[in-house]
Amino acid sequence: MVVKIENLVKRYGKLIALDHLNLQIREGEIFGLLGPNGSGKTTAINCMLSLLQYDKGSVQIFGKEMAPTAYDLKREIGIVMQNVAVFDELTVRQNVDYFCGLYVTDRNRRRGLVKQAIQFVGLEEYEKFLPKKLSGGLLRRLNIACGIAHRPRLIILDEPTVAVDPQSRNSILEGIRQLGREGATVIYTSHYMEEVEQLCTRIAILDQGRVIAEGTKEELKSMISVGEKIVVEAFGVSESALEALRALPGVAAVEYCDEKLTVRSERGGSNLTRVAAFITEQGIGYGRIYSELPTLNDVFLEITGKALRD
Amino acid sequence: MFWHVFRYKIVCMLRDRLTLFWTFLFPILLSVLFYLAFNNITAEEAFQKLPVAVVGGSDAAGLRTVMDETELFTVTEATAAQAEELLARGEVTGVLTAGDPPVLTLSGEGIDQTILSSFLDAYEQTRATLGRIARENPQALADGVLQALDTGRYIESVPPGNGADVSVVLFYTLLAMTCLLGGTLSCADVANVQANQSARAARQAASPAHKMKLYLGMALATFAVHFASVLLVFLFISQVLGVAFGAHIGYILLLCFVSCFASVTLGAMVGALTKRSENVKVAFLVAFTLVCCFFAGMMSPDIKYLVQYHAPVLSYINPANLVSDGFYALYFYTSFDRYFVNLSILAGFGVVFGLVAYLILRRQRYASV
Repeated sequence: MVVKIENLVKRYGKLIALDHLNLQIREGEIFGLLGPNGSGKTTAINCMLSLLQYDKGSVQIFGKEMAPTAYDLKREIGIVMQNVAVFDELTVRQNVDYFCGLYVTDRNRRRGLVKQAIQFVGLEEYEKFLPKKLSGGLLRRLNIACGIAHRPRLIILDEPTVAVDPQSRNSILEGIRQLGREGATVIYTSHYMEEVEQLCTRIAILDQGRVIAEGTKEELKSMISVGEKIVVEAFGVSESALEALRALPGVAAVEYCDEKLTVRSERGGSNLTRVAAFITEQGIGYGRIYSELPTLNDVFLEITGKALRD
Repeated sequence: MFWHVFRYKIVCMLRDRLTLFWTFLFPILLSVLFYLAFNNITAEEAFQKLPVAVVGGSDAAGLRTVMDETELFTVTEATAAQAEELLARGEVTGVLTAGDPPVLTLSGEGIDQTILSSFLDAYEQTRATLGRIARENPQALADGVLQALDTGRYIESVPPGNGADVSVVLFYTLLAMTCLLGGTLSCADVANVQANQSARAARQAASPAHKMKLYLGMALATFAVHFASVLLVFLFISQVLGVAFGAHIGYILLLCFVSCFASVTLGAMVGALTKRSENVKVAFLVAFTLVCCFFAGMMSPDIKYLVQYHAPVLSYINPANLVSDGFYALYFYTSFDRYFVNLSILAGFGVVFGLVAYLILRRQRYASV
């Protein structure tokens, strides 16, 4: 087990940020910590790194108790902060070299690692640039390079794609997949469910400092009662037609709003053909018709009664 | 790792324009302003020779010789009519007409007129004494009584040690301010190892670098840059502006060194003591430095003397005063006692500040990041 968190409690005055949090992360996983803002993701990371004092519980990394002075453990961890954490006065290369130098003292070895890290994030052309000359996306990439240059076995990325353009986001996500392929264990926190779905092999959903669901994305989706969602751009659907739709076998719920007809299927069921046939039979005029599989947002919605981005 | 941190901290400081301005340029600009302001005052206070008209032609030769020797007067030889006209136009302070006794005509009343009148009294007294000696004991003149006679010195060049030019106190205090402003730099170093101050600090705190090693690497770099800035300002003030610091260069450098140490540790202590943001800490340190400099006499040397007279304890706990008074003692006193008292107290402060900072930082953990 790379990370084992047991009954972690962290309070800020009367507010409970982490409420008996339990997590186990296995070697080689890309583990997603998904939750809305304020759910306790960053607090959990800070406690894991011993940056924060916690009130109760324990954090073990690589089988050893984590502490501020556990330097041998810290050497194996790479951290990419939510906010860009670099020196404005140092160039791209110097920044990566500086942070890598806190882990690797051998200059010759470090030179190679720095070069690889810069190549990994695709900043070769910007090596001599100061951070203020970089765009937001390039800055995020530099932030990642600073966190991974020393080749850690455990990499923690705390919302690394916040305020990043789509091109840089794809590049960052592909980089993280690559790190996983190279054998690193990755903890990835985000409130973007699409990213977590694409990237993570296992996911824990956090809400109010507690893990409310945990598993692979398939396991998580199988926890909920609704299945595929069929959306039809339909015009002038009558109330009687809606009632008839609700009566179809395997249909869990039907909504009609703004000329958009949404039909939710029961778990495991597929109603696309049946719904299409029904609309044709009823002579309802329609534009597009498409189906969506349940998302992690649906999982979150069903468990907590609110959307992830509320 | 220590030298790795040290090296990059130096690079950061030398590339930070704001740091460069406040550390190097600001004290130099301020010293130039001081120089321009106080140089004029000193020039106005300098003694100007008094214009005097002498009437009497060859009869006034003796009087003229004595007047030249005093270096008090600018003498214009004139006829009685010309002298009267010069006096009326206010171009001379007075008119001396040779005779027995010489006659003095003054343009009015004032210090210049008093000087001229006093000179004539002294001249007359000496002339009468010599006349009497010549009449009653001429041999005495041959025995060198003239050499023994005090003919009086009217202008004295005051050597160091007698509090001649108090404006140097202003420059000493300015240098003290430069020394103390190092606290603002080291305060930032502390913030850089406190995980709750910034994401960058958190990243460093999450690394395997020992917190104290990290801090000491930064602090030593800060000290080096700060000490270099103090030396540069000292060189500028002493060599370019010509402010006198005396000949004890080794002691001056030692005082600069100890002052920089005390200010760097003061900044570290303030940085470690409070959880406020770095900007608040820096603002406090700047305000503290300026208040200390005010009481050390940066606005007026009289304040320094007032504090020393009415509240001497304050002058011993005011780091700015300890630094400026150290320079003062080196320049004005022949003994080093006062200098070493100041130096010892400053060093003591430095050690105490450093210890407090170390004890706080050593086991600091955070309730929130």
